This record gives sequence, C-alpha cells and structure tokens, in this order.
Amino acid sequence: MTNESVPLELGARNRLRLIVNRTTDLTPLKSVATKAIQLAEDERSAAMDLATVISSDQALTAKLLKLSNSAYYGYARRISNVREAVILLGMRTVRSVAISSAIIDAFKVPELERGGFDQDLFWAHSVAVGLVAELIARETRLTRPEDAFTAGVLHDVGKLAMMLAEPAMFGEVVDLVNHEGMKYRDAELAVFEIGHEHVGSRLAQRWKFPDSLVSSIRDHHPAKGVHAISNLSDLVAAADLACNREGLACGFDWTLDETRRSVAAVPPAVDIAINKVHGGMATIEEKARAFLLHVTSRAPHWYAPHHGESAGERADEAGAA
Amino acid sequence: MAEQTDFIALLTDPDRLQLMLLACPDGVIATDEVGVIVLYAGASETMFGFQPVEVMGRSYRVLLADDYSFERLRDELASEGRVSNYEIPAVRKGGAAFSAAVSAAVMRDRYGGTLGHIFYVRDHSQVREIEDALRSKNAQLNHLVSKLDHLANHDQLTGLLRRGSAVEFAENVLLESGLDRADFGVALFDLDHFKQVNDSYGHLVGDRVLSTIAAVLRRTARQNDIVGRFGGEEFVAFLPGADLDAVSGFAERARVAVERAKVAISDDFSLSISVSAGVAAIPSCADSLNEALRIADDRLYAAKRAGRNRVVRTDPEGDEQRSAA
Repeated sequence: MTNESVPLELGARNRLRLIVNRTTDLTPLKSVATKAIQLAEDERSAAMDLATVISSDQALTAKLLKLSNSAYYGYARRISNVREAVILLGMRTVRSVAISSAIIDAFKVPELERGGFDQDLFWAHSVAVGLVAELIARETRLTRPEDAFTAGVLHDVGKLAMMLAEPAMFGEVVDLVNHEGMKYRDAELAVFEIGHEHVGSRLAQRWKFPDSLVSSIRDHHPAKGVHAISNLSDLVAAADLACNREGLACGFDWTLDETRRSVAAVPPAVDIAINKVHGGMATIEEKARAFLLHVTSRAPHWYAPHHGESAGERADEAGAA
Repeated sequence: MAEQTDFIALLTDPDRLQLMLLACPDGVIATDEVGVIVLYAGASETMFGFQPVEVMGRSYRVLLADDYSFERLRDELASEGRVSNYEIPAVRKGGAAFSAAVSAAVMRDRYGGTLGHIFYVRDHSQVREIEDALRSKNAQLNHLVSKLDHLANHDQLTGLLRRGSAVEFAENVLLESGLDRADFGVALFDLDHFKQVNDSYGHLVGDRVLSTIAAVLRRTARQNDIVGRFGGEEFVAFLPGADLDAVSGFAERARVAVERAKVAISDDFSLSISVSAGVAAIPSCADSLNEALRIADDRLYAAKRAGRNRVVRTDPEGDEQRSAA
C-alpha cells in the first residue's frame, strides 16, 4: 500500500524512515495491543480472545476496570473483571480502550518529559478528538463509533514520534510556535519538511493497524478543508477542527487565546453531534480528562478553565495576579 | 509442691469429689458398660425431676424422649467414642419432653475395656426457644424483604419491572450467557398519542391504557423474556436467545395484539390504541446492551416519524451498515 498522498523528496523520505525506525525501537508496543488490533472482531470467538488477551496484562486490566467503574461510563453496576466489561460495555469499546491505553503507555518515555510541548495536553487533545469523532460516527453512521474513537486518539501520534526521534528539531518547531507565532503545521513543515500525518500513518502501518485507521491518520489534514463527511478520514479531520476551534489544542494551551484558535468551517453534522451531548463540549472535555486520569493513573495537566462563568473569573484572577 | 499435694488430696478425697459433682451446673450421669445409671449427680435432679433412687440401676434410656433418640446417641457414642453438645430430646419426670445438649464419652480402662459412659447434660430448652423464635422472625423478615424487593423492582400501575431492574435482569442474563454472545433481542415500545388519550379521557383512562399494554406485552412474551416499563408510556422487552428476526416477530405480534385490544371507556364506547416499536439485537446490531437500547430507541423514533403503529428494525435512511455487520 502506498500511503503518501503527496510524493515526498528523497531527503524527506529518509527522515521519515529514520523517525519511524527510531520510534519503534524506543516504544515497543505491548503484545496485548498488537493482538487487540489484529483481532477479527466479527467472529464469535473474538470477544473471548480479547478478554483472555487483556486479562493476561494486569496493569491494563486494572486500568480498564477503573475506567469501567468510573463516571466515564457512568455504569450503575460494579464491573469486576474483564469478561464482565466485555459483555456489558461491548467488545469494541473494550478493544478501543485497550489499544489507546497501550499506545499512551508506550510513549511514556523519559525523553519526552520536557517543556515546550506538553504531553498531557497532547493526549488531552487526542482523546477529545477521539470522543468527538465517536459522536460524529454515531450521528452519521459512517463507521463504528469505537473505531472512530481509536482513530481520533491516534491521529496526531506522529508528533510524538518526531519529538522522540529528533528532539532538537522538534524543539525548534515548538520554539517557532511559541515565540514566532507560527502555526504548528507550518513550523513542522519548515523544520522537518514532512508532516506528522506521514509519520503517524507510517507508524500505524508498522503496528499493523487496519487500513482505514492508517489512512485516517494520513489524511487528517486535507488541503481543501472538510466540507462533507464521507469516510473515517473526514470524520477525524472534522473532529480535529472542532476541538481546535474550542481551544483544545494539541500540546499547547490556547483555550484563552482566541486568536490562535482554528476558524475553519466544520460540516453541520459535527455540531449536531456535539450538541446532542448534555453540556456539549464542556462535558466532552471532562470525559477526556476522566479517561486520561484512569488510563495514566494520575491527574493530567490540563487546559486553563474556559467554560462558563468560572472560566472568566479565573482568567480575571490570573490577569490580576 | 504443696499445690500438687493438695491436688492429689482433692482427687483422692471422696467427700470432696462428691461435693464437686453436686456443685456442677450440668447434670452429671455415669453408667456402667451396658448403660445402667450408676451416678446421678450435679444438676440432674433439678433438671429431670427424678430422685436418684428412681433412676439408679435403670438404663439411661429412661431420661430420653424416645427409643430413636436413645439409639441415635448410643450408636454415635459407640462409633465415635464421644459426642459433644449433641442436641437430643430428653424427658422430665412426668413425661414433659425438653431439648437437651449432651456431651458424653466412653470411659475405658488402661487395657481398652469399657468401664462405662459419662454424660454431661445441659437443659437446652431455653436456647431452643430463642432459636426457634429467631428463626420464625427471620422467616417473617425475609418474607417482608422480598415483598419490599418486589415493590422496589416493579412498577405499581402495570406490575411490570421498573426500568433499572429490567436492565439489571437483562445484564444478568447476558453475563450468564458468556462471551460467545448468544443472541439477545431488545424491543422498545411507545404508546402512540398518549398525551391525547390523557387530555381527552383523563388520567384514569390513561392508566388503564398503560395497564392494557403491559398485559398484552406480558402475554406476548415468553416465560424467560424480561418485560419492563421503561418510562412514562415507554415499555421494553428483553428477549434472551432472540435474533433480529425473532425480536421483530415478537414486536409485530405485540403491535397487532395492542391494536386489537380495545380499552372500554363506557358500555357503548371503547378506545383503540396502538404502539410503535424499535427493535435491535445483540450481536447482529450492537455488542452491548446500552448500544442495543440506543439503536432500538433510534428505530423507535424512526417508527414514530414514519407514521406510528409500526415496528422498525433497520436504521433510518435505509442504512443497513450496523445490522449488516
């Protein structure tokens, strides 16, 4: 499969290969995730296989159960083992949680814990995009909501790979964004000459993700914007725009800086889907936070509060201080 | 050394031994090797009411309520060598039976020959009374709890399960059926034009309409199906083992039955009612109960929009993507 929609220069191709190779060396994906990805989900035995695979990983099992019993799912009854989670929450839900959680885990490497680009906010944005993508999938019925969630969570994974493999170059990108006011994407292309979508899709391919997921990562920055939603890629691109519009940016906190928020139009289905959630985007943001809290077992660093009156008050306080 | 001397002196002094036996709060009874009473001391006299002369030289059978109890105790002793806190019906002088707790042992000489038996008997009748009283109170309590439970789980008007209980029962069935995903059908029903019924005929008629639908659903469902009132005029049926065809068939039969069930308002006028329904099935449409309910709800809404009094089994806009997978 060719995964470059735009042919890359030789130098860029080499850099792409280098980044992906280094990343796969530094962040070995747990076998649980690989197995979960490759599960043939339409076979009846799949649910049992999934439960067996997840149960073999105690850390993942603990996270899954914590999440299952949290307000994230708002499930009234206590879920006490993986088997119950698979039956009550559904196999696809459990699978998408397992994959997302394994990848978030894989990138928990010390090399990435440096300033400038906030990894907590990176995942905050990613999970928020995943949740919005899931909602759009429900609304449009284009793909399974759970697959949309996974695709949303992973859409920017290339950025982490670039940061991991080329820390100095990535530092330049962050510098350009923070101090020169450049857009992340422009800075990235200026420094790396390749976009994170290429890195991410190549990585996903290496991880043997299904083709639809690989192409949704590759195509989530359509050159002409998103006008209609007709496949998983459009769906993720639209969810990405919707989150950026709300200030839930990737790795940077622009919640209070309206000038840097995306203003690109999104198809109407996106807002219909978001508005069906009680509390809208604020609820989605809370859910994303709960997800990360339970998956990483610690409270994530978060965006400045920006919903409702309290956001204004707190912003004022910050200004006065 | 002085203490040990006292101890031996105590054991070898018949007067003191006798006093010790008399002071025992339990009945102390010894028999010879064939079960003839040779010692009748401690609380025996007050407990059984017999004078020593009345029982000495007789089998200890005379102190037990019946042959069966006697044989039971004798056999247990013979096979085990001892019994401890053995509850057995005993009898007082005059024939009043009471419950006794007996600890007993076979006394043997140093060559293993049987010397006789020693029994320590405690009057257990009060404990028994308290225990019996507790037991009957407990039974009453259980009965009340199950009644309360029923009240908490069921809707008073229709007698169907409440929403939460119905979902919980359905989850229990799913959890029992295991991971290989036995078929499981979900049907949501909604009474058509309920507000108009309430507005035109009053809430009493509205209640009767709801009860009628509940009765129809229960009649249409099988023994193992779970039927509940989902909310105001919404009903749910969970059908273990039913695929999409089966649950659609069920919903259609229920719809027709509701259509035929007229609710009599007066002698010469009865009301026609109808329901709309949306159905879904695990695993063909959804892989969890919540998802199946959500899909069934979507389809119920589609049934309403399409003109009511119908069952919808596919997603709106003819989209078969979910049901095809």
